[in-house]
Amino acid sequence: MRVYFDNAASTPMMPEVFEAMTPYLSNIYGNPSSVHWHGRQLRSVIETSRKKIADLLGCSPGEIIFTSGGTEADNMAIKCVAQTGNIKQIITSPTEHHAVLHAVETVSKLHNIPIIFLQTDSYGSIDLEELELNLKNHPHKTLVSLMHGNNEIGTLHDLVAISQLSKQYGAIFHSDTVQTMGHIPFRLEEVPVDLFVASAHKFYGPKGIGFLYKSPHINIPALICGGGQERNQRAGTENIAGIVGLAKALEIVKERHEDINRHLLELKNYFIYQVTQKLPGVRFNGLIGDKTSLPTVVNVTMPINDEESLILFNLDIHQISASGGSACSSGSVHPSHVLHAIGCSTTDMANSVRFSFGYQNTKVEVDYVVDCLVKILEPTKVV
Amino acid sequence: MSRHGRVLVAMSGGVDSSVTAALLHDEGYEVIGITMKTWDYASSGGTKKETGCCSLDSINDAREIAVSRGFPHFVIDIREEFGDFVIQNFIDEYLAGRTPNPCVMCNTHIKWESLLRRADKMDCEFIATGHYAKVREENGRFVISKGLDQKKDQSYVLWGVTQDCLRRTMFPVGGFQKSTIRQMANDFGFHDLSKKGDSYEICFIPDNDYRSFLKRQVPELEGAIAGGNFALKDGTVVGKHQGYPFYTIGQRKGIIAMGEPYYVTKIDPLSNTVFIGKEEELAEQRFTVRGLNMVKYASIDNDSALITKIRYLTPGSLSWVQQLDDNHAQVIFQEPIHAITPGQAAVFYENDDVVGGGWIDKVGL
Repeated sequence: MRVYFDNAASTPMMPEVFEAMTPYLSNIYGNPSSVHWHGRQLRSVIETSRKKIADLLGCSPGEIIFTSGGTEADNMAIKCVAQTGNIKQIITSPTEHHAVLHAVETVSKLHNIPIIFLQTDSYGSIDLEELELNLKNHPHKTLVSLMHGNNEIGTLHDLVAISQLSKQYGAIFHSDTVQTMGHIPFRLEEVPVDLFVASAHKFYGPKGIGFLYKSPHINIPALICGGGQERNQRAGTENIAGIVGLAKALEIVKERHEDINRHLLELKNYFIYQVTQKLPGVRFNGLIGDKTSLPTVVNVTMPINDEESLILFNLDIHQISASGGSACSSGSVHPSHVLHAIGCSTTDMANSVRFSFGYQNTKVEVDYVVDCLVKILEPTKVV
Repeated sequence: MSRHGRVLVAMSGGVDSSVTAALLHDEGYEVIGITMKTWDYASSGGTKKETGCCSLDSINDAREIAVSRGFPHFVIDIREEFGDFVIQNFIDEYLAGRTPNPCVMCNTHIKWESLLRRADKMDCEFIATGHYAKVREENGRFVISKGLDQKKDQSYVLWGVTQDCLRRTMFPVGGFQKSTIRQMANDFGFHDLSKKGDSYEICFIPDNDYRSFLKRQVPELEGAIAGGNFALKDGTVVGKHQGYPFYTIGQRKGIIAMGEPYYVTKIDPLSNTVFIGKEEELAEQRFTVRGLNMVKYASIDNDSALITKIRYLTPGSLSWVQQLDDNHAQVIFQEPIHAITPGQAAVFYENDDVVGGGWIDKVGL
């Protein structure tokens, strides 16, 4: 049995999404910027998709800017807000995705903007009072960049509270919502985030397409310059099949949200139960509650006292795909900066695995994975 | 489950280790490929020539074989253990006036130990590499012998591999000619790989310029040692040199013009003196080795007549080897040999079998 428990890295595309996309990869062609018939057909498809997405989120179509994915959207939000020159302080946290951390570090150096890293507790949660204190004591404009759901440990930040605090103190609030978009729906009237992002392949859509939501109150320059696409905010011929796929995927996960969410929570809690029963000594990183964490992610530290247990390789040998740490360009794995930030030891980091679930996973797969873990964790046999 | 068990194959991305993996896979072993990243080219400076086993292209080549064959492949970052030991030793040896052999050092202290440790953690019974050598069991010992292709034989770099490591080691390409291996690679469908050149350079010095590497690694070195003396055997100073670590025994180029060919004959790090002499002064008959590792026999009788090789691509010469203790031996050649170089490996052979080897220590005496 080959098991894919790495859905936080990427999800399989739903067949309906693929079907919706195929015409735009085959017989429907042309450039949406062209003013002729072919161009018009495509322009119309893009704008219909944009409207569909805006309706699902409760915003205006003009507030959605299509990008190549979540990383580009995060980069655009942070770099272009900083480029306006109004920002005098950035507040973020050490458990953010590298798309945010590296962008923040870059603009900090480039524009000489100080960064404040909020402390996180051992679950990866931030202290809202610390956030408020830093907002209150700073007379100038602040950019707050805090993610919704953590991609490695699943802990959720309170988006409502953070957005309200940011609003109260006049800060711009950007949130990396890549892991929650399509999984934990929110409407903008309840959560006044200024900038947030999406990546379609995290919710059963295609890779290479995402978007940045930008509040109409914020004016920023383009990150990628060229033609006038995306209302002069993101140049480059549009990825039409991707845009269609993104809109379709978001529509489906919204429609089936209750079923998918129930299934994911059942799987996740079943996994947690089985692992706890059969592998004494395991520990969970991050929060694991239904309301406090992602339904998709469980991060487990295996009871192994070895700085290099090769647990991921052993899972792979058993045909199980899961992840831990971040892969560098060569494919070797570096320890996770998130686990480091929440105080994991070197040994614990080396023995931690992120299992992440998708709608297609089953309890039978959970049983198989737990059985394999039991086998792998048996004391090494003498050869 | 596989027919023969699980084997961890060290895959550099080159033709030999790729064929190694494919051969074992065809034989029914459960193959797990591993590429050990020993060095980061981005940090090495020097030219950007990427031919070594740690280049991204090589890692990608290794992965491609694994994917096409359907077996797992992992990349392991061993830069720390490699750097701490092999690169530091490389620098230390030059600073001690010797000429190191980092590939042998790596095999002896890093590669096999590293591989076996990972093999244990992944329940692999065996490890395999693409070396041109053979290994067999005989009288309770695991014996390395020369590869079938005499021109490609790599037994010289394997003398330091311990019996415990050899017990679980396979060299599947050792029984073939290199040309056959290239043909096999082509037949397996690895068309580009079959034409890939051999790499001879030290993996962490892809441009082969060890002097610049030393200067980059030890920035204060140049200033501290420049301006030492070139001297003749009797101590007569004949000129200034650029620093003793930048010279190697037997080197002719780059030394002071003497009107006729002169060679580096001895390096004295303490006085920063590089001794030079005529060709005949290079010849020595006896030397000692340290770090002795016995392969074919647990120990050898005094004055065993063995063929000793003191560099990679030479046939070796008749010698008498006397084991002094567990770690040391003395070697006396039948005829004087040119440029016996401290820091290089000396390997003793009985026909094609490696009897043992060690590091060349004191020369002459």
